[in-house]
This record gives sequence, structure tokens and C-alpha cells, in this order.
Amino acid sequence: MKTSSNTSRETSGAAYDIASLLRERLRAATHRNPRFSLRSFAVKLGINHSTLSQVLRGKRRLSARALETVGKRLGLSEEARRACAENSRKKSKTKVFPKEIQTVRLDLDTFQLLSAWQHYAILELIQLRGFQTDSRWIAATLGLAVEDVNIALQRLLRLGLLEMAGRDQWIDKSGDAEFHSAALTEQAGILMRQEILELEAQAIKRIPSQHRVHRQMVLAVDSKKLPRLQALTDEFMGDLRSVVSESESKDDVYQVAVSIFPVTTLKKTRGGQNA
Amino acid sequence: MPNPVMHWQILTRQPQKLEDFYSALFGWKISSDNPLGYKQIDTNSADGINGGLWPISEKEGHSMVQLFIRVDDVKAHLKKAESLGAHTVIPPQTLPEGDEMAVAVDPDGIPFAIFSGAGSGPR
Repeated sequence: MKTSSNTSRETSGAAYDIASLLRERLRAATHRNPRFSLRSFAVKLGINHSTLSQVLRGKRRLSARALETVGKRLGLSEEARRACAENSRKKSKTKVFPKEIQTVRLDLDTFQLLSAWQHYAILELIQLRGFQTDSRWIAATLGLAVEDVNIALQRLLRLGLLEMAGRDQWIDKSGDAEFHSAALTEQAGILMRQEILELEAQAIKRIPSQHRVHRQMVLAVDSKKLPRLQALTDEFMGDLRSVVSESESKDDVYQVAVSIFPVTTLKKTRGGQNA
Repeated sequence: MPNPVMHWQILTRQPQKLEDFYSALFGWKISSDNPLGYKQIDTNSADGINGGLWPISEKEGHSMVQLFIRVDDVKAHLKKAESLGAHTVIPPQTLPEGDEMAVAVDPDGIPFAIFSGAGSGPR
């Protein structure tokens, strides 16, 4: 079972590379707005544009203070900023990383993986008895275009999460891993949740109620108990995973999503993008 | 064993548009009737080699042409490529129709595929 989470439990310094993150954000911004310039990005980040240019090319590292400013302006958590600083300190003792291009690609791949549900769904499909090593079958089963399936397959292969071991044998190499892209996870998580909401809306229209489960409630909550609620949710997901994995004859792939969030505007200082 | 280029592939964000374009321009026959739904191009000629169209996402890289080179041993050639400065993007995989294929990036950053088997490329 593949699980995505925007709560990073790993704080491995290697995952928090500020230059990779900046390249991704710049790429995303220029994709949304082709006129978005390096200079505009530098202004947004509060640093000189030539410094930014050098950082992006791996020719220079940000000072601790600049790193803190940039991290805040990117909306990184304190934990992520600390890990970025630690990673930067480690890298200052080594040469500039040699596989820069590959690193960027892997970061982008990971980001795409986190923000698009079909990657997880394809890996889960492999477990089904009737699985066919056929992009057309996968596309029809998941309601996707063949092109989208092939793009996802290529990404999974590139990340080493899928192996085509034989004509009729594809292997899910991801195990029960939680996919994290550390600092990228928050943004990817937002995109993925939007996709899941759309899937849910479609499922409500398309699938008879006896074949799906929806539970919801609105509660007054002591917000200090949020960590406990999160632990309970983790426990529930773990139990659900155990029950599912007991079966030898899986015949379908389901989406399971649990969300707990405030619906009021009472606390203005929560931080994040909507603060 | 010689290592001929057996196949070419256009990586494109708009496979359907290019299918329409090239079939209208050159009369090439393009079929997706294979397990990967791969747009296989038949140029209708005994000369030259055939190709295909493979999708890339809006956010990934540039559209480009990629070469497929036939080898007798994919793993050995991949190892040799790496020793000469290439790096592996996709390790050896067995495609649904039986060919073994891997993708690497040459020292100038250009991706290429090597494959072994009876086919002429991905399907």
C-alpha cells in the first residue's frame, strides 16, 4: 500500500537541498507564467538575482542568514529550514554535487509522484490477480489516457519504484514506503489532496453507495489535542493497512483519505499559505 | 556483434498532434495496437528505419528525438556506457512484448535507449 503524507518524519539532511528546491519552484512558476523571470523570483525571495543565479547553478551557497530568509519566503517549516541549513553546512565541506541534472530530475519526479494519484494506483494495481502488463488495460481500469499511464510508468521506472521483470511480470519495488520529498512535500500534498477531492466527487456520482464508504463529522475540538488526533489517524491507517494486507486475493484498488482540519477563521496565526 | 540504430522515437508533449501531422505530411502509418499503446510509426518504405512517438508531460524536459540501438547484452552495454561517462536513467526492463531495454544519458546530456530482442524497439 502506498501512503502519501505531508508530515515528514524523516529529517535526513540529504533530502533538503535548497538549490534543488529553488530550481523546482522556479520551474513551476515559469510553467504557470512563462514571463516570470529570475529577477522576479529573486525579489520574491529577498536576495540578489545574481546570487540566486549562482545558487541555482550550484556555483554558490547561501549564507545561513540568507538561507533562513529564503526558507521562510518559500514557506518551509522551521524543521525543513533547519535541515536545509544542516545540508548546506555538510555540502560546504564537499565538492558541488556532480550529478546536478539528475538530482533536479529526481526531485521533479518525486514531486510529480507525490502530487498525482495515478502513480500510487498503478503500483497497487500490480497486486491484483487480474493485472495486465498493458498500458491500455491500466488506462481503461483507472479511467486515464494511455499517454498519462505511460508518463507515469516512465517516472516509476526512473525512480526505481517499478521493475518490468518479464512480459507478464511487473514488480512493485516501493514496498510500503511513504514517499517523502521533504521540503517539496507540502506543495505536492496540496495538489494531491485536490486530485483526491475530485476523485471522491466523481466516485459519489459514478459508484453505487454500497461499494464505497464515506464518514464525516464536525466537532468542537481542543486544538492542543491535534497531535493525539494525528496519532489516532496513523493508528487507524496502520490497522486498515494490516486488514487489507491479510488478503491474498485483492481484486480492486480503493482510495482511503482521512482529513482533520479547522473549518473556522478563529485562529489567524496558524501560518501556512492561507495565513 | 554490430550495434545498429534500429528505431527512433520522438518524445513529445503532443503525441496526437504529431501523429496527425506526420501521417498527413508523409503518409506514415501510425498504430497504437500494442500493449504499451505505443504509437509505432511505419514509414512504408524498405529504406530507412521506423520510429515511434512517446509522451512526456508538460513539465518534463524538452521534446526531442531519441535513438534506439540494438545490442546483444543490455546490462553489459549499460555498464560500458557508464564507464564512458553516461548515466543510467531507466535500468534494464523487459517490455511487454519481450524486448529488454534500458535508457541512459550520454556525456552531452542526450538520452538514448539500448535494447535486445527480436523487435525493433518499444511496443
